[in-house]
Amino acid sequence: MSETSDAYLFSLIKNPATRDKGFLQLMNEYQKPLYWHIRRLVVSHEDAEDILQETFVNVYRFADSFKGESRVFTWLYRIATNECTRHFRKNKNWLKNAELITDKMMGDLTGTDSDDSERMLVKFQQAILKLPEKQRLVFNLRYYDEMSYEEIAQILDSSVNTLKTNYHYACEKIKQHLIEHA
Amino acid sequence: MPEMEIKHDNMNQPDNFPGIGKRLPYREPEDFFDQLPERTLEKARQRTRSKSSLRIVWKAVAVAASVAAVVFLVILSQNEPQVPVVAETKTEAVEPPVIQEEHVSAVEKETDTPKVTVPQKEQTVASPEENVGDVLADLTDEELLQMAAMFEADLFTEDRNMDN
Repeated sequence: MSETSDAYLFSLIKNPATRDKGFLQLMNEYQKPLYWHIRRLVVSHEDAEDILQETFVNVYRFADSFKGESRVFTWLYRIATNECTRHFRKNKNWLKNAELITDKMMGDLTGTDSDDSERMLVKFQQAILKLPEKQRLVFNLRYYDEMSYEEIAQILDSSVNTLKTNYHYACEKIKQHLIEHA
Repeated sequence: MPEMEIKHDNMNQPDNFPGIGKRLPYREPEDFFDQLPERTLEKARQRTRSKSSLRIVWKAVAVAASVAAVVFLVILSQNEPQVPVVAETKTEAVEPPVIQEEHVSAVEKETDTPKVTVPQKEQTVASPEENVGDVLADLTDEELLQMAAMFEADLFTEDRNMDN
């Protein structure tokens, strides 16, 4: 989405008369990428839905605080990522639940006539889930959302060099996990 | 896979994992994205409403507390002028003025020095429009007893008496 239309959307949201219309347009524009970003982090659909709603509720309530200094999608990703981090802190057992879900997915896949590539996808997700939180965030934003390190730095409040290191280690660990569980 | 246009400035292609790509093993429920915006909007509206009503309640509580504080201060300031007069005169309040004069004259006899400081102090402390005798006459026995107890507990008064 272009920066002009982002600015237009926010002008709608900041105006009480057109707030709801602008909000719905913004959601239609960004709900999918944000949902998948959150889902990759928390795995469970229910958790992802809750966090996604919370993200947009915050946008609705605090739209006035968006000054346009960063791009809208960076701002949205930042809010969503913060909500995910809060979710991890609040639910200390979330990783156990996430592993159970991926295990169940593996079981489902084994029971069907799915091909090896599908099983590989689950193993890949398991490897990502085993990463430390920071590496997991960096890997997902870089690998799936194809963000530049500068954009990730804005979202995670981190330096580019640290992010590059995190991403490198994440890739190495995932490769290692795939080799060990091949 | 989500569809989004993202500009990639000076970005190299991330490491590829052959056979995996960007696919995910997760699926979203059917029509999930169609219904979500309306539901989220309703949730956001409710949250805004509840927050604003909570804010109104807090404002009302703050205003009520402010009014109560002002009323309390007004009552306190109305009582304040009486308290110092009574407090200052309470040193002599235990004894009626007649006895004080006798006491002063007895002290004068003992020391042979003209000590008239007590009545002078009483005159200077009491405001011109209020006579101590009148004030004491207006007090009930209970109030007089309270003042006597305060007098006994007043260290400063004791020091002053000791100095004398």
